[in-house]
Amino acid sequence: MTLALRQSLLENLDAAHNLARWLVRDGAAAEDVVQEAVERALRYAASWRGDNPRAWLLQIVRTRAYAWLAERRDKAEVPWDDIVPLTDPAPDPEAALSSQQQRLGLEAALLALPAELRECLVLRELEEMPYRDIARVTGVPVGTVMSRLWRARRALIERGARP
Amino acid sequence: MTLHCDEARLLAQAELDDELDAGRAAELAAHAANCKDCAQLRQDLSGLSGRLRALPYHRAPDALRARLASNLTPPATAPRRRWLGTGTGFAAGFALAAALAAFAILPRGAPDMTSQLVNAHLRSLQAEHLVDVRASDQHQVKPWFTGRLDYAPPVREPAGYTLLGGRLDVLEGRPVAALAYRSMQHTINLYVLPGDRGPETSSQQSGFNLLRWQQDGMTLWAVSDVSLEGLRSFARAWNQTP
Ligand SMILES: [Zn+2]
Repeated sequence: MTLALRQSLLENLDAAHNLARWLVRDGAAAEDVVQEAVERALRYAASWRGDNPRAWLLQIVRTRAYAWLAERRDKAEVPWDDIVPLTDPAPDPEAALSSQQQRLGLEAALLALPAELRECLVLRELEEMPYRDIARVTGVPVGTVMSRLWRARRALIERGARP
Repeated sequence: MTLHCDEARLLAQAELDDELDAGRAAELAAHAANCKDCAQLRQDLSGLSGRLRALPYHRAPDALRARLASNLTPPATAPRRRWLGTGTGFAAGFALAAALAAFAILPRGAPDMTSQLVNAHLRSLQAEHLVDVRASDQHQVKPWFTGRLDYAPPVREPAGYTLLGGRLDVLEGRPVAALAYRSMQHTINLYVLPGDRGPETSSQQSGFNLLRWQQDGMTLWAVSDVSLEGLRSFARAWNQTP
């Protein structure tokens, strides 16, 4: 079982890092989070039920990422909106946004969403996970996943529709 | 039967996420054909999805992958059972460091019971030696202790906790029964010793929580990284299990 688990962990490193990176929003911290998560996954290999190693690993990654965020919040709370300007460029309302600007704007908007909403979108749109797996990773019922996805999407759509 | 917009919105999202069955999809299509708002929403959702999928996917950097891969690939000659100091691989290395950290804060002289318990807990995790006898059936665990101990530890599987199995451990220089449980993603080691040692008490060390209580003339020590509250729930469930 352990060999199979190690293999699965390797196969899911990209997913682990992607989720960590989007949650902690910091490159070095994301690597630390993934390393910690893999260490824990190995320590608690006995608690792996043998199914869906990706959801299991991502659940641990998420827990470590939130721990990191909580620790940092204790030290100095800096609202994300203050660090990365939500690019609402276009001083001239008539000016069309370049696709690059739009992409950056969407990225910033996603990064500015509350983590609970952001993680659902990342798991759904970037990892293409079904609701059931997202629920397992985030530890909430499927109905909550759906409502978080809905709130996240509506926020981004409304933002994009803003003139 | 007409669909309301409230419901159509949820269906539109489920459709986008491939979570909608064909019947409901047909209902949604019929509604959207006559509802401008919901038709627009479907477009907005799918447009947003396309733009989100074009955002950066943060693959694991090569350096991180290389670092972890060398530790995730066990050597072909890895011994089946590892113990303190002879461990190979990442898990053992990490847990060894954790064990050393625990030792580092031990008082000089004989380690107290809390330290012994935490060290025993760490040993069980690092060595991947949680159990000597697996609990495919809890009735196999209890007889296994017979002849190995001079007392008969109760073996229970409280509701909500999975009994992984049992093993022998050494505390205060004598062999004792250790039962390993899984709860969510956590491992709980329960040490069962004969005799009373007084009322319930809890402590913390090296990031682990410990809870001691007694029942039926046995002293029970639970050690885990679950919260103290979690351990108390475990104790309650244990006490209520026949
Ligand atoms: Zn409608």
